[in-house]
Amino acid sequence: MKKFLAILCMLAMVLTLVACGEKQPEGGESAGADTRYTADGKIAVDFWSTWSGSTGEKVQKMADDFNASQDKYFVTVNYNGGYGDTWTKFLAMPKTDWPDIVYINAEKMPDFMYEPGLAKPMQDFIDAEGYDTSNIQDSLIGQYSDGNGDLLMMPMGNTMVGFFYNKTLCDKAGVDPAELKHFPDFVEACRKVNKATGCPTPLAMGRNPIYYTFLYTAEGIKGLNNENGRGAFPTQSMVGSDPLKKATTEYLTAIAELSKDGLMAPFSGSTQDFIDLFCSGNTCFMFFTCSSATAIYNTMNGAYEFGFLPAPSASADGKVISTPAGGGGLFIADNNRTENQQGAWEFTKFLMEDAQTSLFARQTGYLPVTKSTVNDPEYKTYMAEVFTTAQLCMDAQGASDPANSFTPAWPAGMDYATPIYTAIDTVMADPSVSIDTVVATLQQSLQDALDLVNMAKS
Amino acid sequence: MRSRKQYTQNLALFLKVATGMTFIFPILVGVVFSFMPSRVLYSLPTWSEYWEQVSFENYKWVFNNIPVFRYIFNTFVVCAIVIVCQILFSSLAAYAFANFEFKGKVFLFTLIQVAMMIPGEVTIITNYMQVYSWGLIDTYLGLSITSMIAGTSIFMMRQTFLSQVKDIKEAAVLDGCGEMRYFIKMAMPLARPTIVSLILMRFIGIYNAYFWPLLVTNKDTMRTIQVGMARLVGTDMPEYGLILAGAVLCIIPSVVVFILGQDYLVKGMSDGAVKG
Repeated sequence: MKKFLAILCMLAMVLTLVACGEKQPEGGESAGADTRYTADGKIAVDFWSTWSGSTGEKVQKMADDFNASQDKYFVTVNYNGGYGDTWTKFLAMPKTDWPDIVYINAEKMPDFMYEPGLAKPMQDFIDAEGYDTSNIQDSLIGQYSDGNGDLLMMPMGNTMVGFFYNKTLCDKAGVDPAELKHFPDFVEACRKVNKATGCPTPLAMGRNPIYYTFLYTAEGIKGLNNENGRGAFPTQSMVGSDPLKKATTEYLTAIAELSKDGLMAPFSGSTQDFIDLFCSGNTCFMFFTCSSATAIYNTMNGAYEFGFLPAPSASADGKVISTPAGGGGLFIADNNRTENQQGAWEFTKFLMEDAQTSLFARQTGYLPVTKSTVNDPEYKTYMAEVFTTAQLCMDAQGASDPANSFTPAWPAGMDYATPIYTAIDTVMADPSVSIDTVVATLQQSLQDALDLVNMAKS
Repeated sequence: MRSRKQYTQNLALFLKVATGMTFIFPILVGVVFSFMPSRVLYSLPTWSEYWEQVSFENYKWVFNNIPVFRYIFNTFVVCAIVIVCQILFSSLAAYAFANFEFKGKVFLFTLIQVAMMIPGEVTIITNYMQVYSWGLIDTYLGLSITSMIAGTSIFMMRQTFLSQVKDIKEAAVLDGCGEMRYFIKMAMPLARPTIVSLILMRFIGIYNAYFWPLLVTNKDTMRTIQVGMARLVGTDMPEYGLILAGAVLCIIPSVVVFILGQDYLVKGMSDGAVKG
């Protein structure tokens, strides 16, 4: 009897669990294909923006301006947290309830390449009406296109990896930042700055793997096989073989040299910590993204002159041939609501107009995504007063080889950051460690992470 | 002798005040800096610079751009639903566990304890999908349903009921008092400190909830205060003036609630610790 009751209880629990599940409508069923309208009959465009604070206010203004400029579509801006929260919520929602257009970080590009059905490619809309993309920065076209050259996302936040430099300290030390074309060049430059000015830690680097990956990408080196993961799903990390092995060795050797002399700031801290370090004159060269230009200008408050230059190469003799872009872009969700998607496309085109790209760039410190924005009077003033090297950076983007402007397409779920942090932390903690060993460990860790993702995929 | 005792008391008071001020100092700094524009805060102003630039612009921005009162209202509604449901369900369940003997009692209580050990992050997405399938997105029920019952509440109330003197119940039963009447008239009033401390703990938990309200609400009119405050954090650069102004507005209700119920909170935490 006891056994019978136990079996009955288990059966009841199992049936309860089964009953709790419910089949979600698949994509393509008519239930999710109805156009959504506002109360006054306009086609609703649900825009998920990760921008908050005063930037969020500017994004709302852009949406309000779009709504005022026409009467067919109505954009509603919805904030759903930062990149991580927004993406988690997006994936958790049934496809039928997906928003129409989402702003997300550029690192999500591989997700759209490897999982078709998440986003409706921007290229479809571009081809449908023959939209001219020649005004978009070439490096952005490369970063947001798949292996076939189809634009999947539309860039909106155009940030460049490079380094801020303290011009006042550089002039005192007789160092020309524009001559620092390779990462190992910074060793001698930091020694000069430290000797001439007493700056304690002339070099600082934000804790982000992009200050390694973007540097080797800039000299045309691939981090993954299969065309950096754009031609096919990547299966191999390239750190173990030249040219990336050589570049990584020279990059880590430079960090070891700087750490040995105590010239490198700790590889940790928040964005504000690094900015404080730079603006107080305790660091002369700060590897960061240009999107902090406005914040640095406000914090510096005239204490020093500063500038920003694109990233050098990782290796000692590499030639910079591209400036891969970071930041974020817009994607149109593949929610089968054709009319709403069309509204999202119309809004995207509006955001590509000079007035909007200028407003966004001035608010954030990002570079404009279009070439013609430099002609906007307000952006010209901004370049003259705040971001004095913006033109130089945009020229670098313009000269970028689109075929080499995309960083490794790290698959979703692959932890590529931790092995890179471990390598840099190891070298900084013990500058006498064998660099070859550290590079080998980095290769193994990245390969293990990649193997795990491939195993899960199969 | 008396002066030595007085001296010791004064010293103890001074140390307590100093310790309290040390803990409260960051909040005071936050309040003071919330009246400074963000651009000035980046370079940490001096005291004289502070008085030259003090303004309400951060608060004005928050009130103009964030529907703070709507968010606080929504939060209080969710808190009320959760607190009422939790007190009701957990006290009934705890009373049964403490006073009745039935088959499966140990197994059920063990199951509740096991459920307490499962982290919320593990179940949040599946809970979301379930709530979505029930059509509870953008509803107060959707916001509160996953918090209506909690193992910790059942555990605390059970401990409280177990610690109540059995003689009182025996005397009540002899006088003809039924179980339900005893529960309402005697057991619950005696458990008041635990109930109040549960109310405070749940209020703080629901008030600080962020990810669940973010998941189950799409409309701005249904969002809660923490989701609203997240809108003040700049995506790339924190705007400290706005964040501090929002934080000050945000903590006022929880501080008031805590001050009103702090005595019960401490008492309730220790009440369940000793059995019998």
